[in-house]
Amino acid sequence: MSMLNVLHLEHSDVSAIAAELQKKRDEMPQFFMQSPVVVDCNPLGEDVNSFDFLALKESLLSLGFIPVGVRNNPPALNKSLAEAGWAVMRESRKPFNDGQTEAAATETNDNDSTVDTANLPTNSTIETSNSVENSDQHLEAQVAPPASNNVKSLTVDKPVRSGQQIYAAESDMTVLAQTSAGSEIMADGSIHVYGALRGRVLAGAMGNESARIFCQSLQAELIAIAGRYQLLDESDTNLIGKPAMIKLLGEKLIIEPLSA
Amino acid sequence: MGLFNFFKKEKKKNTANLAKERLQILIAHEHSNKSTKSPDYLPKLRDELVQVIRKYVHVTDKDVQVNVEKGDDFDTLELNITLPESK
Amino acid sequence: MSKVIVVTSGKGGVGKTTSSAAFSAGLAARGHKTAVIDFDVGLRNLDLIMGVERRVIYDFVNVINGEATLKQALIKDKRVDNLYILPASQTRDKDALTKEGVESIINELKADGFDYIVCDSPAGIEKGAFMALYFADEAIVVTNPEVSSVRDSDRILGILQSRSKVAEDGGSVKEHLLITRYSPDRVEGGDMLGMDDIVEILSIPLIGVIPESGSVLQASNSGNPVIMDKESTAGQAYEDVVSRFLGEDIPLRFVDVEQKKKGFFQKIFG
Repeated sequence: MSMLNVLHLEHSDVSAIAAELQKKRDEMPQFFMQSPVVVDCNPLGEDVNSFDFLALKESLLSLGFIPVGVRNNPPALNKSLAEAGWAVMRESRKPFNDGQTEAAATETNDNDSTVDTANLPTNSTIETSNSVENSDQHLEAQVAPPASNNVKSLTVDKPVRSGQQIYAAESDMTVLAQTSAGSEIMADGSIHVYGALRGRVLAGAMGNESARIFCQSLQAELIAIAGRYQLLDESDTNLIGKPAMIKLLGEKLIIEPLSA
Repeated sequence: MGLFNFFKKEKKKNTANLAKERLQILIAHEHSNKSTKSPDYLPKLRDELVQVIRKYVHVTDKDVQVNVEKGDDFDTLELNITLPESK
Repeated sequence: MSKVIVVTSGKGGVGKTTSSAAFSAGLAARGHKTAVIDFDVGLRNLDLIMGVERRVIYDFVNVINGEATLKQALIKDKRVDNLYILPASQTRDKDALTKEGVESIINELKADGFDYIVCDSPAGIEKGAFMALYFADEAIVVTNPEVSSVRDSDRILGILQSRSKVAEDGGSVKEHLLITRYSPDRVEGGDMLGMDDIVEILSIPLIGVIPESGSVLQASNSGNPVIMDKESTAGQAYEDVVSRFLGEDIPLRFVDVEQKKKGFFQKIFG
């Protein structure tokens, strides 16, 4: 699995959307190349019924994205979307029509948990935000077991090699070995790497802004938290090769020394 | 030093010549294989032989071995049939 | 207990076949019954490097398809006892390899009492390379001191530890790094990646360093595994690889400039 990009449809002009996407992609071609895209219809409102999803899919493909699915569409469109080759995705956080308020509530919760746990061991930060996400899912899917049994963590004890991707869904990730240049590790929670971190690292992949990245030797190609990304080459940090922690402050990724 | 170089040079030349000869033989062989004497007929030959032999004695597929040994001037077809123990 | 060892690299032209030939000949010369299998279906070369190209009648694919028995297809080496070569087919393509077919051949070799089964992988990460590594217990990853080779080795290590049978069963394939075409002078001059850098990047144990040497080409020209050239540095370095593989703890040779120079002068005056 790779980074899931969400495209929020603000208007129904496909060629204008394609132009915007191309601009965005050309800023970071490697980052977006072959990356999956989910289309969110919610901002489109009533215009969704006349939207040309087939044309959008073709533009996405020609730009090198992988169109995955559509969410927040009116159920009436399910059939025509399927015919245009789109998967219809159930939205776990935001039920159709009531999306904005739910999402806002979730974000507030996430922020709260950061504040609350700022002085606590880092693990609990994620446990808190995990349970927030889980309880959301619980509401929607009504199949998830109680949140307390559902706190996950993923431990990787082998090197993550070039070309490999590892994704820890709804979970933290701990890597006990190195990650190689050309690899990609992602987690919905925080990521800890105890070997050299040389590949891409994306924490808070589903938008958790309180996720953090911890590493013993920061040599990553790209760092990202909750969709805010940065090439390490373009960063002015003096912590390359050193133990570091990366967190998100507003819209900015902050790289700090990791003091013992 | 001069003597040393001389030997070294000579040795290299020899292996390059050897490589050329080997490749010539190999490629000539692969070409000829494609046109006429492909060993591809061997499995079929073996199957048919088994059929014929089975008319007289009971043998399994594995009891009949067909082999071609490639020589410099001619190839040898080797046929090895293991007969069942007679009672 | 027989062991399956894949010689692999991802990148082409780094010395997989040369290393497979030398390594298997070295194992056999020490009394271990060894088979070396060419997985490069369609582009076979092991037979040439081993000098048995004129003795190929049946091949790997014939055996898989039941057109010949394993015994018929295995070529017994005339120089080294205990050494057998299973050539690849030149006329088929890699789709002729099936997991079941490869497995049955490896099992038959094991049952025949082979101690080591060396799988010479084709370049790339396509079917042939995948088949060569799938049944491996151990892997020799051949790497040149050069950036693209190092990255490709890293890639193949990932595949090895995620898609091989041992990995699928929850274990891990034992890894060995073999650096080939190493020039201590160029490393010293700063133009070539040093072995320490490569080991640091790949972080797997080093089993040997083969110096760049004209004898490798001479050996392939004449169809003799270079390990048989006891005079050459490359041949000796491969001997060391075999020793280390069999558990001996011996120091690296031919890896720094001084040592090499000394050897050179010894050759002239000694």
